[in-house]
Amino acid sequence: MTDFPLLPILVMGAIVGLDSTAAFQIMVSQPVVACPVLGWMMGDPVMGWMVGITTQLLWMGKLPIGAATFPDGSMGSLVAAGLAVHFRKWFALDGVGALLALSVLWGVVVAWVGGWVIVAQRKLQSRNVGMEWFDKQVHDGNLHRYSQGYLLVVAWNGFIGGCTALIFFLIGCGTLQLLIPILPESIHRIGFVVPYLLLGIGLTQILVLYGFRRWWLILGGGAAGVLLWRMV
Amino acid sequence: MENGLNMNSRQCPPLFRHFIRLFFLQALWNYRNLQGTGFLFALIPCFYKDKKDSTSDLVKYHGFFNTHPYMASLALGATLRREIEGSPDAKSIQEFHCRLAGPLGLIGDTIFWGTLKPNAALLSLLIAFLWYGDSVTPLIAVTGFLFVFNVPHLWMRWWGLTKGWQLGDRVLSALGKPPITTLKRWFPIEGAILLGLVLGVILANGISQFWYAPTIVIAGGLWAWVGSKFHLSVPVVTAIPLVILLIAASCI
Repeated sequence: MTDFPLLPILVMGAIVGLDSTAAFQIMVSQPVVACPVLGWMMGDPVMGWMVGITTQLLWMGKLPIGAATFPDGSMGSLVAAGLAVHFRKWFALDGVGALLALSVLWGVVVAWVGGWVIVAQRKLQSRNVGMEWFDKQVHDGNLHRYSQGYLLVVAWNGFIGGCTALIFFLIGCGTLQLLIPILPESIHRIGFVVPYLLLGIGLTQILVLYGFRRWWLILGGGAAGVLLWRMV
Repeated sequence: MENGLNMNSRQCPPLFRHFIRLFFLQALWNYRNLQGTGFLFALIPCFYKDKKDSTSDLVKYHGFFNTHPYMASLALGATLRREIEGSPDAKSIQEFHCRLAGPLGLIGDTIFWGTLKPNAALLSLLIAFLWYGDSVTPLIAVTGFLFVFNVPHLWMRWWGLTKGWQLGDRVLSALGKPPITTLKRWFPIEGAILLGLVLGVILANGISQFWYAPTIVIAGGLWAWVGSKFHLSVPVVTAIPLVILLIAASCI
């Protein structure tokens, strides 16, 4: 398999890397946005969309507060979407659940490691060498150079994001290429269990975040949801 | 004009340029001054480009700063006002920033990370499950998510900058009044209703496909709840059932 979609992964990885912590934060890095966009760039928006909606809620419970270390769920979901779209043609329709499970499993690993990549990057940025340069520009009143240096750091953040996504995507591709041929046919049995399982886990993250204080609103909303679904 | 700032007394600084620079506040987040370097980057447009007198003013702003990235606009606006009203010394600036960091961070985290982001995600899921299979559904859901999140977000950034500029030292008083109190009150209510709606639609949608789908949603939910009680991280909570499923399906 030589048709690795390197450019879409690199571009979306850079965007996700920037938007999730470093710059903009307009939420284009969220799985529900980034995954279908990557899917569209790779030629299968539906599979990207499927990964996006099933993994979106998983990461909602962890709030990126201050210096907290948290899994980089956006990067994990992006890599998972890339893998799911890339290997989609290897699976029949009833095997999508198994593909989703394998991709999300790798995405979870990427999210966990991605959290530490962010910490490592912040530690690197704290090193005296870099900070002393900015200190010097401040002391010299060199505002243009300060701004230019700062924008270079913004670009560096995007570069790191793109590289992280690409490296983990390629490792994931290599692993799945080895794994998929030896998987038994029975793996397809898990079918639609995986999306519903992930949704259950994700919804609980929100429930734990909100608490049960307004349980009557949740119950009322649930009843309205069933009615709404029947009407639509 | 005082203290090397490119502002006449009472003249409004170039707020739009500060607004744009605030989008890059966290690019150089580090363990030495946290958002301090980014805060100075956002503050730069109001300084003279070539005036050496401004050096001392710049240095005193290159200290510790950390708060919610969207709420930092309030702090920036207030800092601009304080600088115009009389150049504060480095100690006073640090005290002011420390006084702002906690309340702004807490309210920003509660409003944006704790409620608005999950609410926008729930809304996009609701659209996704109500009109599943329709070709334009992903587009509507993605647009809806970005619109619902970013209208309050961008408004808060601009409102914070102008409000901070208006109030100066008294900027914290804005946190106890509308619109902040209104957002804090209504977003959780909206979130609880949306969560209920999504649960209802997913369960109804699941039953229509497989009788056991709601059981899987509930089982996944119970497992995640148990995991949260035992402080298991999300990656662990997600990975364990997936691995069990894959092994079980391969063996049976």
